[in-house]
Amino acid sequence: MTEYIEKQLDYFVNRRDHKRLRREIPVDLTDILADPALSDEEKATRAHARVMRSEEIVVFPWERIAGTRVMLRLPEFPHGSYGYLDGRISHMLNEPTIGGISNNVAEYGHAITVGLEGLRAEVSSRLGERGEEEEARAFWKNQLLLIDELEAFADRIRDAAEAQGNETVRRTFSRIPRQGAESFLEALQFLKFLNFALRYENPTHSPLGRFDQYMYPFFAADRARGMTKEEALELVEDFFISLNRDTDIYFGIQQGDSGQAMVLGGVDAQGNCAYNELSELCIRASLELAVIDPKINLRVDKNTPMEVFRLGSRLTKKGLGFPQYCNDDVVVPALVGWGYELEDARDYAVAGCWEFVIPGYGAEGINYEAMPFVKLVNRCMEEHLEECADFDAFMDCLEGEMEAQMARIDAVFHNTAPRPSPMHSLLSKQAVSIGRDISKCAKYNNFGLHGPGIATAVDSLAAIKKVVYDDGSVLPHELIDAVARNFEGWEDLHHTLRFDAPKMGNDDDRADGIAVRLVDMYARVLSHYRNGFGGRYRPGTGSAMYYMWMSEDMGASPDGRLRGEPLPANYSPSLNVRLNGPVSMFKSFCKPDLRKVCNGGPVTLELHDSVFRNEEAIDKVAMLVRAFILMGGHQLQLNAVNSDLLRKAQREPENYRNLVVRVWGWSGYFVELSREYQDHIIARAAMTL
Amino acid sequence: MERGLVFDINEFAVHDGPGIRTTVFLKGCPLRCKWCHNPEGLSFSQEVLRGSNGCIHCGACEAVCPSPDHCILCGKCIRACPKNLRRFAARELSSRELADILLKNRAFLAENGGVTFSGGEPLAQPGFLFETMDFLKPLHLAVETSGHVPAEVFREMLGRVDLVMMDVKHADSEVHREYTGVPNGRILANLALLKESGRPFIIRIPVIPQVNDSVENMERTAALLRGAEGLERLELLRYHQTAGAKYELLGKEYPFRYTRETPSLEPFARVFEENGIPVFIP
Repeated sequence: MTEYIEKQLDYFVNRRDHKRLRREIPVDLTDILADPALSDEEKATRAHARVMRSEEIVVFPWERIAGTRVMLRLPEFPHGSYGYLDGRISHMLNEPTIGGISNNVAEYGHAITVGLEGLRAEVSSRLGERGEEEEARAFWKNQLLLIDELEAFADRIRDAAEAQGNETVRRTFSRIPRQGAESFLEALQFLKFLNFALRYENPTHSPLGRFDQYMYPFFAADRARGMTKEEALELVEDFFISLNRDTDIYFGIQQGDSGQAMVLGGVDAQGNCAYNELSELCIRASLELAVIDPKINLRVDKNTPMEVFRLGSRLTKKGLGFPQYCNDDVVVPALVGWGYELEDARDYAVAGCWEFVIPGYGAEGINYEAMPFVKLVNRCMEEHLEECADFDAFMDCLEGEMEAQMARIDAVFHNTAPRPSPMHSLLSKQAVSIGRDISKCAKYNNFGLHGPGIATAVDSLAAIKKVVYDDGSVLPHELIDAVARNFEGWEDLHHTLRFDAPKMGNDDDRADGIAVRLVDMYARVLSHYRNGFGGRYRPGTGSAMYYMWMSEDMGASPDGRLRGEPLPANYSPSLNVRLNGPVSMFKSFCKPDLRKVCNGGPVTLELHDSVFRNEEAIDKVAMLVRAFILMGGHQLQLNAVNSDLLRKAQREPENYRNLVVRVWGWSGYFVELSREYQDHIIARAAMTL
Repeated sequence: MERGLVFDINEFAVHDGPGIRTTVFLKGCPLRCKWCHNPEGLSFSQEVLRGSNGCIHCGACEAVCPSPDHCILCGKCIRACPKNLRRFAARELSSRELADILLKNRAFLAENGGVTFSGGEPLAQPGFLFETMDFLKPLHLAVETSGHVPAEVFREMLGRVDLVMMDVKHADSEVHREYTGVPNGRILANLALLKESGRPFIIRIPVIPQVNDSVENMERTAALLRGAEGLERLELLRYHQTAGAKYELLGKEYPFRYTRETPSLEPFARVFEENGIPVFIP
């Protein structure tokens, strides 16, 4: 790490001195929102412009990549402000915000290549060709206004740089964003500028997409001009640090849930390996910096060289929970199966956590709801267990419950509309060419569901099958009573269910066979539904925060889980299972056909940090990851943890300010999490293999 | 069919031979090394492990115990504990059963590593061990042994394994006896067999403070190993302060005390390297 980077890291991450500049800047949008003459898109553009104009510009004399928020809170854009939303609902995660498309990936590369003037020329030429189409004309005119505002915003940054005597930033902003970037530094600043400006639309999450692909031409050009690898690394690190400045004021369920996911590797449009030198430098940068943003995702497949897994495992050793692996051999066919074009599917990136989306083509609601698996099993047991003659009959009843649940979900979310997002639209070639806001014209409009507690539901079903149907040792009403009483008075049965019944994660077909059926059922039920935009409901295996939310008010379950005990995060074993090891666990979790449930959501495995003691052992972790990919796993989250260290950090937070942990689909500072999440992470860490 | 006692199966062993190993721990050991960190591997009999971390002192275990003065291994307290803090230390398995457990991951192990037998002293249950090994071939097989076993057992083992990992805890027989309970004569004789056999092997030295952490001991050990063709490398294992963590499970006290730590393994590594022996410190 260079001295310059150490200084940036010290200022922006360790000391976080820039936070002192933050303050409340009131922005009144009432007149814009109340103006009946304005369309939704115009309202959104003008509101966005006013927020940017109200912002105070800060450029530090010692930085190369500018972009620091002063405005502590963005103004609210109350529900009902948009006529467009009449009769529809917006998603709860967007409710108090002013804008836009969230958890979808903008198309940064094109804008960085042609510059805002290039985009202006494209918009103007569309306007000239098809200006008679009223709605499109309004959209393009609006886009021209947005371009003006973005350029004015950039000019203020340039002027502030000049005032600070920061010649580097001034020079960069004398070309970009009007012109396309010519150097790697310009491209990085351009990207930072776009992502920074987009934030004033206030999306919950604005992921970064395939950085190593769209930035590669600028990187390669500078390399050809003589930029050394080390110089390039320093620039990447500089950019990464810039992503960590303001994450604490971004939307998030917990501190660190910033949604700044970056995807590396994968394949190109023709299916050829796209991992390049820049991908490698990004992994090295994350390794050296050990900061929580960007969240590193690595696309791999059966042909990925061992060397890539080795570098990934070195990063895992850091304990940040990076990289998250995505398996192209599963994800690409899954997306194609859902109707994505092959070229688009090959270009997938991840949203805030793990959900697969296509940059520039999506207005997808990938995290609208969660299928409450454990609750459904409990409900089905209470209502139907006594009438079911065999386990198959019980599974049929469960499918009925799931259908009913899905009907309720669809009734609520069927017409859930994303809010207009003029800037996200500007960063979509599709929206610009059609002449509609991306929220109205996106090629892909699928919704996604999380799948929290699948393993606990499977364990519960396996327990029911064993004690009620196979052994016949317990009568249905006895089991219902025991669960309702939280097993008080049923201690012996509790022991049997909790410790002696088959569990998912130990390569035991008695449990895994049920997992196969449950996952198939989940996919089958969702396939019966289409949302109001013609999109599907994509089943997923992630949990997001639902593993906490759902367990809070949930009673005990037939697997012996007691009332209030949390569900596992993501697609991972129940917390009370004694596991044989990672090989058995991977085999278990890869038995279901994961192409059917590819909304996203990783198999999550915690390894004790002592596993990473030497290079030889780290290589073996790489072998394990590759084995998972060959087994047909869709996504893998591998964490190096040490429960003793975590307990110590909980006791002495002041000494562990920089201890980073993986939470669900993101990593954050352990000491900044609320107690319940800390406890859950410690419980998971105690299960390390 | 031979039966044996297995006290653990570790599916992701990364420090026990080439690749990813499944390591099987066989219960029972003829040595009594004072620093031993696997006390549940010492006795050749079944035992009940009693965890105290998380105990709510509800008394359920005592209430069901039919023989409070002398454990009869009835297992009633195990089921009674609401916190699942008790378990049998080992599983009794036939060689076929153990092989079947391991062969569930046959494809994975064939591709990525193999199986390592450790303990306890795996060669102390030779019939069980060899039958199991015969079921597992052609997987890559390794043994971690103290070497304190009859020569004919050692020889038979050499005919079956792909790699031997053997400890040489001390070059001086008297000191060896003081700290492990047995002299090192058998061990050195078997080491000679091992060198002759041409089998690939790794020698391991757990470097124990105030027991064997002297340059002199390392020099004597190096002399024993010089010129051994099969010797892949020598591993110096650092002593960990957590070594006594499991004694409480057996209601025993950790017998080993030391007053100073081993400062650095580097000088010892140099001794072996100067003798042409590659050294690895995990």
